[in-house]
Amino acid sequence: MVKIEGNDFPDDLYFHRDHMWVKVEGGNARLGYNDWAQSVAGKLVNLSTRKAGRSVKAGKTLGTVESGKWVGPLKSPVTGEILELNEEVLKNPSLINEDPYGNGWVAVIKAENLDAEVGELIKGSDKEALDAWLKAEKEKHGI
Amino acid sequence: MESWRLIDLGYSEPLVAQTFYEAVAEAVHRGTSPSTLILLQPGGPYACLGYHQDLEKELDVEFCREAGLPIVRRSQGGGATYLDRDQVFYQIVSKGSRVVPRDVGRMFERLLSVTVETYRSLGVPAEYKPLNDVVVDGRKISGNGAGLHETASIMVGNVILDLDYDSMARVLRVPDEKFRDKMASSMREWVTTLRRELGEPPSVEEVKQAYSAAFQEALGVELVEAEPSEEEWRIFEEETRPRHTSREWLYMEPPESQRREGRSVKIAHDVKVVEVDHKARKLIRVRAETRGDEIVSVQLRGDFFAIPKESVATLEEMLRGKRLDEKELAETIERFYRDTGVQIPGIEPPDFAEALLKVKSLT
Repeated sequence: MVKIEGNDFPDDLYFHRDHMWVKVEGGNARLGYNDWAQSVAGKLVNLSTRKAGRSVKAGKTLGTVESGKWVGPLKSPVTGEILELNEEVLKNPSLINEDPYGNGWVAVIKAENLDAEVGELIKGSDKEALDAWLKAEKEKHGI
Repeated sequence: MESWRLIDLGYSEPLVAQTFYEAVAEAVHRGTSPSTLILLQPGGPYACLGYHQDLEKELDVEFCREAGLPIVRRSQGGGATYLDRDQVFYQIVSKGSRVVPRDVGRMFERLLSVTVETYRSLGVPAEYKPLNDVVVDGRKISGNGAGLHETASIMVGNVILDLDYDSMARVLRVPDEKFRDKMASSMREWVTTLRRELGEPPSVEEVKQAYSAAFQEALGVELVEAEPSEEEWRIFEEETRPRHTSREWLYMEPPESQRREGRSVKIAHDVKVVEVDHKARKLIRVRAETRGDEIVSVQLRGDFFAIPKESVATLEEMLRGKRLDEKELAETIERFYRDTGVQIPGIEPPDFAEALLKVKSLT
């Protein structure tokens, strides 16, 4: 597993530039919020998402997350139908802070175009690309 | 030096006061408007709901309707509040600015240095309190929120000249009037204003001048006064206003995380007034003022009776200053039973602890 300045980036996941992670599970994609993003956002207090059964496009808003008084969008890295939402996380979004890659997963998407869309993401095993991306993010965010 | 636009909207109708910056954010995102500071005052009183909040649970909608108070759900987070002409709003919308960090914590710290400097130049020794508060002697004196609109980042907040504590407490939905009184007194204790700090508040024009000067000084940018563009007014009339006045928006289904039992009102930074019910064989109703996970004060009511009956007050007293921690609560409650020899039919010591831990889930 790659650890970048204290934040985890597991090898078997793919990372979207808008801070969601993707785990490929057959033809489905399990999504969550990455460790760095959750640590920068702080304790998450609210999460609202589109409903299961609805479809979402890559790069479009899957939901909205609130931490303290900050509200920001969660962008889906993949296109498809929302098969399942993590009810526990909807009730208690701070699970994302506690365990972003495990119990803090957000949704499972029945992906329409998984191979191509995953190809656009950064592999967890590609340390150089992760480093470069996070460095750019930090500059952009003034960290 | 970066050049920013300054728009002074003066006294504006509540919907404009609370949402016009969204139209500006859309124009800034499109690249057709530059980074912008908006200053304004609400033209009249209104109730304002946080983005994720449940309208009917948070606000006394019937009261607002009867009093003719508009209700606006803002696009930013946080809690329900009452706003009126005694505040100056600042709304900072930027894209690609070198002076605005996009990391939330850093952005608040940088931009709230402007608010701190504004208060100081008006004679009030304000300080920044992470994450998003400005305080004087530990009392909140400015409310702030932030968010993103596509590629534009937004931070909004206010300079509080005066505060109508009773109206603030009145618009919120509460379990009963005692809760309302507790909330109002807690607000008086934890939220202050320019009037309270200075005796007489400065004029809104003085506040806006102080804010603009601090903004340029602290951020090292130049402000150039301008009017909103035609495009921004068009976005506001065609998109922002219709969205915010729609029933779907106002009655937006709250997320699961809002559907907790009990009632919790955030007063200032980490201070809350909370009520929860716990059903053991008898009902325990806990009303508490908390600061972080510390009990500032607590009231225990319900359909139980204690022998001797004064002993409940003893327990309330013993719980003051204790943390909402399972072990600490259990020890205090055990000591209470031991020291007072109290008998409470239908209630066991762990029931009190469980009731109090429910408070924690709401803090």
